[in-house]
Amino acid sequence: MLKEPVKIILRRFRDRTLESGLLIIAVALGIGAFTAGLSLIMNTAEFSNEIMRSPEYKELVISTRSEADEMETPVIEKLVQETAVLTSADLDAAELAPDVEWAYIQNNSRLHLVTADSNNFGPPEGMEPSEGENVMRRMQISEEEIAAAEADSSIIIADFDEISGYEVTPGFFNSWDITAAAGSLFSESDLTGTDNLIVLGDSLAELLAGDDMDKSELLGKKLLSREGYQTIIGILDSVSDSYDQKFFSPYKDQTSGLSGFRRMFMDTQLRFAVNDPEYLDSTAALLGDWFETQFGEDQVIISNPRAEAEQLIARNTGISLLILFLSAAGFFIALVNVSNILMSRVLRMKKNVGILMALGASKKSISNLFLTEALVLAVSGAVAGALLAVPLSSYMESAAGIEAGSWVYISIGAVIAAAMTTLFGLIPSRQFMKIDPAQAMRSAS
Amino acid sequence: MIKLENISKQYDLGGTKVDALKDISLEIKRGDYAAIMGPSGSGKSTLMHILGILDSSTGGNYYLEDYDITALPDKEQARIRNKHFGFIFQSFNLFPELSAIENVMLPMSYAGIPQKTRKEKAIQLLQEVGLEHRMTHLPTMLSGGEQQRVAIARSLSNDPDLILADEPTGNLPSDKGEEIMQILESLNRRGVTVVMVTHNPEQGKRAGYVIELRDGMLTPALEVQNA
Ligand SMILES: Nc1ncnc2c1ncn2[C@@H]1O[C@H](COP(=O)(O)OP(=O)(O)O)[C@@H](O)[C@H]1O
Ligand SMILES: [Mg+2]
Repeated sequence: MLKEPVKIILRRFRDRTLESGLLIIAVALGIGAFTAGLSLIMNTAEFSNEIMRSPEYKELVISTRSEADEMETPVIEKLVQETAVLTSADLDAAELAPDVEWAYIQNNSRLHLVTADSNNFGPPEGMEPSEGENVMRRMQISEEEIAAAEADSSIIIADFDEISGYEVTPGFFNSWDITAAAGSLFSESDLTGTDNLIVLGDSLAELLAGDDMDKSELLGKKLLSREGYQTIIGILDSVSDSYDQKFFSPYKDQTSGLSGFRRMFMDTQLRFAVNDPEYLDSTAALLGDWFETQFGEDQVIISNPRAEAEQLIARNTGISLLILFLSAAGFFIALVNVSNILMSRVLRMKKNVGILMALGASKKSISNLFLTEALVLAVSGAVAGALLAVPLSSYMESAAGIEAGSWVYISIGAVIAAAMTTLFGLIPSRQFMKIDPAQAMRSAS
Repeated sequence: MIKLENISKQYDLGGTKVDALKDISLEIKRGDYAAIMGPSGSGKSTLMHILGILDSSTGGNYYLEDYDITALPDKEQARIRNKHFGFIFQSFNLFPELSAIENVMLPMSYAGIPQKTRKEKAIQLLQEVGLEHRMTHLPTMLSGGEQQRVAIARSLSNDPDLILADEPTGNLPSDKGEEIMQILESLNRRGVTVVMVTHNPEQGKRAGYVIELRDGMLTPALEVQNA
């Protein structure tokens, strides 16, 4: 049961509905904004640190000028231009730069799977294969062949059409520190072999294995695709959502015929990962010189994803700081006003304070009584403010590109803000430490 | 019980000094029934506040049971007011947010008395002042006389040695005032010391003696007129 003096305060708070409601709203808005601002900046900082740790941001990406500059140029014109063509041999440039830890190629790729119920293999009627390499490369597979494949337990027939992945050189696995959960990764020698080998990401393997097969049983089996049979040699440990759904096949420079032709359109990007991001600039300079002597001026461009990401992060941090500053200013103004209203409430209580003292209250107990009022306000304001901050901060964070911001900062922010509200509520309660009870008693109620 | 020696009280009104009390020496003995009388502004309330250690004097000494309590720390003063003194005011001064019984329970909460005991004691006190049927009423639902009886019950909640009543009948019609007087007199017969401010000469005559104030000073002729 509450003691009677506390009941007085709480009932006064309840009876003055409008004033108390406005007080709580002011505090809730202030705490909500401040908490969301705090959460935004903390999550921005945490997110930035985290993405900067990604292997992606220890890399330089080298691509040919044509790809970067002339994306809009019709493909046929490009043939007659003498642009540099990068190959895996150019990865040897890594030996010139002492700080390069791994060099590799990672090209987007796609496999078109043959499913049991697909019966239209060729291009649609009237559209003969043109220059588009994908169509040209596709195997024509007859229904008899599919039936035979279905009967063969060493052949996997998927129930979906397409999977995406990467053609990579082995350095990719080293750089991302990806290991095989089952089977093996491919090696340098596979880059020149004629077999089609693939390694599957964790969730992709899960998907292909289906319900009635363990994913390790996929090893050694062949996946039927229109690009040919793909022998599954390994399954990766889970790394990240984006890689787990992908396949990985060995990057081949000079595949015969159509693939060689393809290389001319699909520019190869070389990636050089350094051991410490500090050396990105010096390594870029070294590699730049070397590629210039190889291919001539302005033939390749070197991009530094980290530098770009850092710019973006600096901008986001700046905006977050501004938001924090504005919300803190708003919160402060709200607190000053709340303190003022509390002060006038306390002054209206002056005569009552005198009576309480006559009945045995010490100045300290009076001060604690008003502290109770400030606490009630602070706690209810903090709860409402935190509820407000949750959608607000998640909206602001998604606008800043942060996916799953931690709610810890909202809780911490709400606690800090509640403490500050209490502190400001303390100012009026201190007023009574100075006055005489007789003085208080004489004031009109 | 209480001895005042050369007590004075000066208010500083930004340059001009107001002497509310000048050189007051008096003694109140255990079991006394004293009336303080005098014209408006003569310092009666100020004296009551000093007696009740609600206010501090600007000169002189205050002895309570032979202890000099002129400069006691706030917490000690609060404890003495709570446990040994009971206050009754002209305008009742009940808390409008609290019911009659809660008003009576309030001083006991400062004495650290548990809720259950507080409640039992409050019920008993309200019965004594004839308000057992009004316990859960808020003060606004009570008549003036009833409010003052709740206030008396409240002043008695910690079994005080001294009741300080500043014009307790001042806001009441005479018949209701008479009820209050009777309650105070019966308390005094039970051994409680009563000091009461009054404007009513009839009430003054019923007291054991009258302390007459004029312009903040005692009127000596009336001071020792013991009955
Ligand atoms: N807080 C104060 N500040 C200045 N003067 C005061 C204050 N309180 C009382 N006084 C003055 O002290 C004198 C005595 O007041 P009071 O004790 O209330 O008289 P009474 O109760 O006899 O009417 C009056 O002149 C009054 O104006
Ligand atoms: Mg008076």
